Amino acid sequence: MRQLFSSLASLMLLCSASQAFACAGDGLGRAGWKLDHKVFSNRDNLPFLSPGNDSRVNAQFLMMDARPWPVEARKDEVKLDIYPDYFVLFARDAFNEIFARHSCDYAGRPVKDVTTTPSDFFDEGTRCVSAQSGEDAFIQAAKAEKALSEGERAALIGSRKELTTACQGKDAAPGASSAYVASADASAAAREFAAYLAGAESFYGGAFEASLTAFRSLANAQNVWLRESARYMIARTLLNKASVGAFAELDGAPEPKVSDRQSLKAADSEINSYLADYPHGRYVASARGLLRRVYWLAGDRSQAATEYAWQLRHARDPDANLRSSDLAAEIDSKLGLDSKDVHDANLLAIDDLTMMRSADASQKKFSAADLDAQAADFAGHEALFAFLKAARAYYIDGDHATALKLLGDPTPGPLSPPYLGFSREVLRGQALMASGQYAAAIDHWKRLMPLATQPWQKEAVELGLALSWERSGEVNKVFLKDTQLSSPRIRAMLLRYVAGPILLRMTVADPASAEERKLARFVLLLKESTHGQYAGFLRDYSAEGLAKDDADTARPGQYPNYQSSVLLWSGGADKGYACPNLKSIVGELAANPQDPHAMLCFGDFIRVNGLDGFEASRPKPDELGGGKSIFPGEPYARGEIYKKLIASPATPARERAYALYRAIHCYSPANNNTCGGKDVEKAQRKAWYDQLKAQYGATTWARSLRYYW
Amino acid sequence: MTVLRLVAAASLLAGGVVWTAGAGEIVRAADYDAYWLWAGVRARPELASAKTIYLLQAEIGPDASGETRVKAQGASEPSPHPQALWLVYRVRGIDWTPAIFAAVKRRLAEWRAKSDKVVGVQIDFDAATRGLTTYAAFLAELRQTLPADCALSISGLMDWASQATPEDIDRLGRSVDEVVFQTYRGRATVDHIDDYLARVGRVHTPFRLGLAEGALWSPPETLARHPYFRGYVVFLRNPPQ
Repeated sequence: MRQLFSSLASLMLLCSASQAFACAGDGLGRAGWKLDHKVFSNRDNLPFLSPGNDSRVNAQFLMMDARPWPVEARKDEVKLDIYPDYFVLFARDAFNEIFARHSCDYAGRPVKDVTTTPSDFFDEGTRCVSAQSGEDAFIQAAKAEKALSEGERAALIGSRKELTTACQGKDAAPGASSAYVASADASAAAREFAAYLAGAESFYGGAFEASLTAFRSLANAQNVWLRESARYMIARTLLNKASVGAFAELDGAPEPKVSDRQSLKAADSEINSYLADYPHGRYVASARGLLRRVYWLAGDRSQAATEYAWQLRHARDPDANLRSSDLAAEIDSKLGLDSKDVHDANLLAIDDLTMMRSADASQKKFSAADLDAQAADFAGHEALFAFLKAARAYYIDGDHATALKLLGDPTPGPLSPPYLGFSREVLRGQALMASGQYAAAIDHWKRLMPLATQPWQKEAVELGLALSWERSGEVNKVFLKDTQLSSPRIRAMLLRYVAGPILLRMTVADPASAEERKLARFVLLLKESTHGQYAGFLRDYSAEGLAKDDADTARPGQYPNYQSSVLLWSGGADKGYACPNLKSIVGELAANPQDPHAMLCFGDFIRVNGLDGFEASRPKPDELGGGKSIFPGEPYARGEIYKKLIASPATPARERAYALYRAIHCYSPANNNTCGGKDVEKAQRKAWYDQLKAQYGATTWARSLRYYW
Repeated sequence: MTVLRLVAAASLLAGGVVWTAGAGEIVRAADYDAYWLWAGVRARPELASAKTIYLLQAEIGPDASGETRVKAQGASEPSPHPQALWLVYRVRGIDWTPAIFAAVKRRLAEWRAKSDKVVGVQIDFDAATRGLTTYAAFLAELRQTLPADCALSISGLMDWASQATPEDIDRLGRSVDEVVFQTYRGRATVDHIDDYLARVGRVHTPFRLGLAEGALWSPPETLARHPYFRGYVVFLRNPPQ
């Protein structure tokens, strides 16, 4: 049903990138529906600065706080499930989809304007990344240069189009050049363009010395495009030259091994001089981006950190050249933050949050003194620092009073900056709840609701409100007209795990959506039948309603999470034991709850439809839906029914034989109990097997059973 | 115990394999000779003595705009190495355009220009069990695209073993030279691995088992005798810093 396994790496990729930084725990666990996420979860991120978030998500919050970031309304179509397995509240991919598009790509273009061309495929991170854009720019410049004759122009353009074969996987004949060569009587402009072409051809072909010579010859070119482009290309050529052989080793996380340090140093100075001479030049974003590579190749972590800090603050600027999600990932993989080289408040904050995750005994506790030692680096970022101190007190020390004190009073008006402001107020609500002040927490969440404007933030506030109501015994408020919450997932969690028959019936009559009606009716009927509320079941059962629920929630081309039609089970005679339809079975149970035939048939209904695990697990006590269930009666366990029938002297022989057969099968095929109830030892299963063979040896069940498990 | 022995005898008669598991030993890279080297995993001395390395090249899947993209991964540039190499692609979607097939082919050519030890291409794709037919068609197309002397390997999910029929997996086998079943989820060997392996045992395609470094593993007794078993691949992890 559900996919159990995923890619080769599943989570390991993330963890290995920079273990100390990104991961504590393997991230595969579920964080659960609560606001306190202290353990890293791969899939569960909250829309505020939180230790359990992927550090790359926290990094992006800080990018968004540094510059206003457009917010788009999000259409959240949730398919509800009887086994709620929703992201809490979102996965990083979903987040990136919303936000990354508002940042810039490697060339400083807004991400949404980028079209993918085949030449991009393996060219990210290689010089071929610019093969196409370079061609376009060259052609444009040639068209604009009036000093070229038509013939020269056509020859130059034609030549440029044939130039970058090295980037197209075609084998260029060694030594042969296809570049246009200016003849003796060519114009000065044509000679300049020809020199540039020669440089470009050498550059893409990897002949860096020749490329440098050609580009350097254009230092005083008449054409301004050529002059600027050649300047920039000198820097790039030097950087490429320095990279030669640096990545030859088999390595998944390269420590570049640069042998040509001189070229690297020259590249650094050429990039900086280009940026100084052309502060608004056409290659500023790219040149600035190349600096990160220079520092990385040079192993200069301190300079790299300074540059990442700049990029983080300018992720939306045209001068930046990485989309926010890629920048966050690069910081994670290339910089890491486990060194003394980082003095930027934002970068430190990302790391500090990961230090607030639940540590195992071997790890050193992140103390108030550890954080205080960073005070100087947070000058000018006092609000962020104050939040981190309060968060540390809350997550590490569990000291809610101190956390509240450190948070100070809430500031009136819109939250600013959006993510830090929101994070602070959510923490306040968490601390109020943790200290048992539910009334104050409820007031706080209500005040916060209209200020929650970023995606998923409203749902986070609703989660705080729902948790507070559940803890203070007012879970109905989640559904009452005047106080109802809108999150389909939060409502579903409570309907599934907490709601009693009255609330479920109300929801069937007046649901927030067809999905919700389907869920409420399914939970109501299944719990009524399994908890012994047979009269209620017969009253609430509606074959038309069940069929309509499936029809109303069907989506073309998609598998439903579950089907209400299983409650329309028509009975059958599996292994020769005949049963009527579900409604009739429950009718028999309503007349006599101890009727062996009806009990066995109900067991078959549960078994055939795979519903044994329906109430096998519940949310933990600190999670939404983890409070006491209001639904009367006890959860059902098929295994206990068989035991009861085997033991009861009133059970007819045929029924006892079938009960034995089914009880033994509970442990097939892997020796683990799939029927629920208390596990029995192997000796007991053997005793059942022996009893079935000895006393009921003539039955088909005894004859068909060849072993026990 | 008689009953258990009966089970064993029955499956042997059916051409099956008996798998038993002990407590397991921690998987150490040094005890094996084939590794996956994923992006983010640092170079290690064991790599030098490895016979075979599965080297991640790129991730292929839809980007934010829904367009399928090839995103380069890992750090090694094509260069000569003594180990047999598989170029691995982490794949999130198989609706490839011709340009993507071409990119994979081109990358193979780039590597082969530098090294004569490139065995082939491996696809790491989490095909849902019910999507195996589509996946088989995709693999047949990829097989057609790649040069005849380029082997094709795929990673296999334990889900397939439990839910797909052996025939489904053998259908994949028509296009591929090996399947590497992963025995782990996250950092640990999956629960009930023996049940899965018992089903893998019915497969008639050469297969390896993928182990996670640091996970517990106990080799089933008869695994080494399985006619299609080709050994292990260890997914390397960075040691804790």
